[in-house]
Amino acid sequence: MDRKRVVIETLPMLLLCVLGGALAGSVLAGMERVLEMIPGLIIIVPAIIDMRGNISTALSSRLGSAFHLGLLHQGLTSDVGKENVKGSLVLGLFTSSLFPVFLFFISFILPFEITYELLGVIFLVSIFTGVTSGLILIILSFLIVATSIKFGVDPDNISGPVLTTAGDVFTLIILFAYANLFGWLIL
Amino acid sequence: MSYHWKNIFKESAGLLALMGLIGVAGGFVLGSIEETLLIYPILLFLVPILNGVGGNLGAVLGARVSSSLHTGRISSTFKDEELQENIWVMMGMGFFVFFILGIGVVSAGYLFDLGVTSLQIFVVIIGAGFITIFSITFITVAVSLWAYHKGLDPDNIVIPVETTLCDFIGIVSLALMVWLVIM
Repeated sequence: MDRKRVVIETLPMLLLCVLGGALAGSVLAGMERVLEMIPGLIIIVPAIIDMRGNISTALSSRLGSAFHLGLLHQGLTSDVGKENVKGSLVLGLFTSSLFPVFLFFISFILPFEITYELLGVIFLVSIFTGVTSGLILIILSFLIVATSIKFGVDPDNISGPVLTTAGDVFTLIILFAYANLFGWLIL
Repeated sequence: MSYHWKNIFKESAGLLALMGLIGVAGGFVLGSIEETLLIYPILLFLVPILNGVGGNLGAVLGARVSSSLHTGRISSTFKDEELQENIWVMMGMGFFVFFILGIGVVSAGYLFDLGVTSLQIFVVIIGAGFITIFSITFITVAVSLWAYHKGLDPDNIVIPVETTLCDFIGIVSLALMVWLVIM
């Protein structure tokens, strides 16, 4: 294992993530008003953000392994690439539709009340955010893996931090937009 | 190693659903300690950073270990030397980042009123950072090896588990350090 290479490739990304985290924190702080308008949304915000990160980092991790196994020699548009995109898209749609269901059941167990109207808004926000930011992050995963291979950097060393950080910021901004839109249309 | 979207979905869907449930539960926890965190806004600011850096370190380590297991570069035991080297380098980098973050926040403390002394905040950051890094490194490697032994693709398993747990560990270790140092 090349210690120097891991540190040189990963450390700057980690430090950059600290800045990205601070940026995401400020976006979240700016969402205060819309979070008050749609009570219950705050509960699934961390879960939505994490899920986008989980799906895209798993995708880039698989692409990284495929690269190390020599399966990517036909390029990212080969069958390996296509199947990975399909898998990630289906997972995104599936998990986004689950969050409002979880919220619904949790409202029975915990002292927390929610109306069907609010659940509907949260469902729409969850699905639309999931698909939109999912697409952006899938494209970003491919771009990062392709770029790092091109420049001789191990994709395993950088794709995770870049995707989770970019994912947090993109997802929060997209969530903010849809929450405002659907909140304004329905509530 | 063949990739088919149905296999990817099958291996990941149940796990991601479970992680989503834990995430929603985590949202409730965060909501319930929000008022305590709001007393010292600097702590609220630390939550995403702690979760982010820990999660990212685990993601890099998980991706590296998965690739190495697939290519046979490391054997699937904790005793593997290459694996141990991976662990030490990751921990070293994590500690370094929190050290820098600690110094950065302490310097910011001279410019803005953080509501706590700079020594307190430094100890909280270093302590919470160390707990998070230490546990997340261990969890990541354990889950990778476990998945590999079970014949599952660690790429599909390790990062979701590691980031979800990291969000919990990050918040808990922060709460623990705040309770020990500031309260």
